Amino acid sequence: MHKPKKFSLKNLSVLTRYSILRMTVAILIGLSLAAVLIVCTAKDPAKALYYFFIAPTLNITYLSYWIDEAVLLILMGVAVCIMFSANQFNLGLEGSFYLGGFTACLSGLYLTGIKDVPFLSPTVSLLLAGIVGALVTLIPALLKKKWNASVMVSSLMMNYICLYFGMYLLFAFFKDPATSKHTYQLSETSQLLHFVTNTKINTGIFIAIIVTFLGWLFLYHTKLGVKVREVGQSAVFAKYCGINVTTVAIIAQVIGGFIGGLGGGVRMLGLFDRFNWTELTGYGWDGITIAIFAHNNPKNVPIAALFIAYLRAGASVMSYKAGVQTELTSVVEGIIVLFLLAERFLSGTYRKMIFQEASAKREDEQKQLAGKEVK
Amino acid sequence: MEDYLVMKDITKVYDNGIMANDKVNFSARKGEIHAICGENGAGKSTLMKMLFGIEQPNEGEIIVKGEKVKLSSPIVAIQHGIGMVHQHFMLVPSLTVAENVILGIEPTIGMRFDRAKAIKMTEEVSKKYNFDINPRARVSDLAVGTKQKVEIVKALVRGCDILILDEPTAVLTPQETKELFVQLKSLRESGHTIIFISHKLNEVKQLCDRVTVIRHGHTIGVYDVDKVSEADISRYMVGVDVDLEIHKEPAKPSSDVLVVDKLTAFNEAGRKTLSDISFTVRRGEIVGIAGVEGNGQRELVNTITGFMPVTQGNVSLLGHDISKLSINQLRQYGMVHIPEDRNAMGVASNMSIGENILADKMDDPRYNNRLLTNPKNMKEDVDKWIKEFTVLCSSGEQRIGNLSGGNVQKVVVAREFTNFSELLICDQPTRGIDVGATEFIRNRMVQMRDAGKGILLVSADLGEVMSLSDTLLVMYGGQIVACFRDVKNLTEEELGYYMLGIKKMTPEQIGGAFYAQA
Repeated sequence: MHKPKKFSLKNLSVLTRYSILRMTVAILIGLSLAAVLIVCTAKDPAKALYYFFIAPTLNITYLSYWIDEAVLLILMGVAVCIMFSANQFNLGLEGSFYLGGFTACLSGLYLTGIKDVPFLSPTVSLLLAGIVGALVTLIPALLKKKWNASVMVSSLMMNYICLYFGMYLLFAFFKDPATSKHTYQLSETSQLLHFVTNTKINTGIFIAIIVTFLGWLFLYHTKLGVKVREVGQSAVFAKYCGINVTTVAIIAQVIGGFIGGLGGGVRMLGLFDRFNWTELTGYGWDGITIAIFAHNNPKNVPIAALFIAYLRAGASVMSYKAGVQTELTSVVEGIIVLFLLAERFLSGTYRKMIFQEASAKREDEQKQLAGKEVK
Repeated sequence: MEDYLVMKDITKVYDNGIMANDKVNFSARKGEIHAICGENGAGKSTLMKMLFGIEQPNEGEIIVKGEKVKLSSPIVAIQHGIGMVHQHFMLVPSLTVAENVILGIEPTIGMRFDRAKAIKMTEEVSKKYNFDINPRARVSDLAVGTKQKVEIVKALVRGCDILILDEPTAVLTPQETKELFVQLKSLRESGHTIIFISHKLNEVKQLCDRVTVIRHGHTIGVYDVDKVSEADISRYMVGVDVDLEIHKEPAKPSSDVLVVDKLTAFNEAGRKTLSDISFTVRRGEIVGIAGVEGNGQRELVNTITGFMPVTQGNVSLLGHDISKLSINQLRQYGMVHIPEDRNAMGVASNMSIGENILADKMDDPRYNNRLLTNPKNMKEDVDKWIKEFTVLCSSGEQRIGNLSGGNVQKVVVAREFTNFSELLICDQPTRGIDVGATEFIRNRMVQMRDAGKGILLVSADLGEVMSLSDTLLVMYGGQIVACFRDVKNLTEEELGYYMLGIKKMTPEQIGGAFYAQA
């Protein structure tokens, strides 16, 4: 049984304590499984484990893998948080991310007049990336409104439309003839500023921090955000309160799509100098994982994103130092998400915790009553 | 006589942390009708759910016929001879009575369903215990009282000799109740044990042998019914003397607030659910609508509150045609609404009390600075209203799903009654909540009436509509079949005839409900 030892833990509600316990157990199971897999498959298990668990802290290069990945996961996590808070299962963020990246690159290459102005160029590029990303998630939302088409299905289809549309444009119009599948090269000024030498760490960090803060502020401290959550909690209730459910749902999806496109732009301008993506990146799906970890609250997103990014950075170092596949992290992530989503996982323990809490409260009350009678 | 069924030191804590039963003791003998009394939220239903295997106790033991049992599911409970008739019937409407009765224990010839045997089984049991039901009838065509009989027969066919009836009379008219009691008494004669859950004390006095009183999850005591008075039981239940009598002055109605004119509606199958409904609600009066559930009340409320479009006829709020208004506009014009199902519509149970109270008020400039919300004003009002409406909670940040039904309903009332209002639609405003909250909400409604609001009250609780209404309408089969201006001298019996559709007033008499000038 989980018993609170510290005073601070005791003050938390049973539900919070239970969430922490669940999360901890799920992570431990996931990590142990990873360790078992590494030991089984690696030629030199000790070396592999070493890199898997502490690589990101070893030097600035490895650290930058961690940070760069975390920035993207944070952005996508916040994007999903906002859409899922409105209970809209729009899965179009893959498409938003892809076209967002492409748009940012094109903007940096072709917007004459702006493209050579430092700071302004990436800013405009990212805004355009966001707008394109928002359009991608808007389309399924409108299809739902107009013809009651399932958002989940149409948004999934949107992803492939975005990918092949983007690739068509790349090969037909924007390819640098000197390369196989790349656009022309971006100038330094069109990219995000890299402020740590010899790494790709860039100003995307600040964008991620700002987006997290604004996302949280939006959902919990603006009237529209409150409405988004009302719609997400119960559409009938929201309707009864006089909220235009469809409009609010569309707005949430547009905001999510905007952040998704922004994420693609940050990846493009922060880590690449040419656009050459010929498949979907998976960051849209990662956003869902992060949002599940974060209980749809942007406030919790950075912690979740840092955790997953740490695993990935460790795994990628491990893969070229010790030859273990990086896909291992997907297994770990999958296992953890599975346990977090399984409603009955540890529910017996929860019942016991609740029962103990209630019994303790009952004893307190009886003591108080007895005290009164004595007086 | 020894105890046939014993529940000993039963404790149950629900997942939301509410301790519904705290070391509750209960026992029943063979061949008795044993009442369990307690107000809403006292823990009666929880206790019975554990006896029927729907919930499992955290502590305590259950002994049936001398054998200690673990009732892990209703199937196990039925194997031990325990049957339950729920308040909301568990029947498949599209199947016949016989098919419903044998559902899950189907007799077969080889691979085929043996319809003749099913009908025979149903007939045998219903004849033996004098239930007048037709095994070939479709359940959807049956009256509420008959559906209940089907539920009882269902339990009897499965060999249950302990029957739990969860507030069986709540959905019945006075006439149907009488009939039910005769049948229950004959079941008692044949050795069945009946556990009768109710808070209608006159019924307990009429029907039962003993009564166990539960209050706030504790057993208060077991009494022989003929040795205690109704007043005694009521005092044991609530702990203090309560006054459920409503004190109100005669209404002083003035101008029209809501005018419903020849409203007709159809369901998806094209059947008429409302036909030619006309009535007026004026400022300063409470118009009550009585009727057995499912006679068009829901459709009427849904239409007035903007959840269903007006298909035929006119509904106007203060002269505005509501078919042209959104729910938001209706609210702005002063319609507030206590919905029938508070958990599905009235609150978002995962959000906090504060967020629920302010849910429809987020556009109010008072709660917004330029871009952000104004937490200070929000907290101020939430705290004020929690106090004013006596919501029992630790703070406005508490999750509303962790409150008891009565407190949840108080939050709903707090949200609705603090809005700008002209017309109050109160749909089952006190269903399933404790006496204290009931008294509070009813008095609030009278206060609102005296402040000049128009109130439309829809309730299945006869006592409630009769004590609150200034004008009382009765709905049957989607029509208004009666209009009483003089509610005080009306008896429940008389009202029952109209609710059952046995009596019907002439259109001229009913026309008294409609004042609007043409």
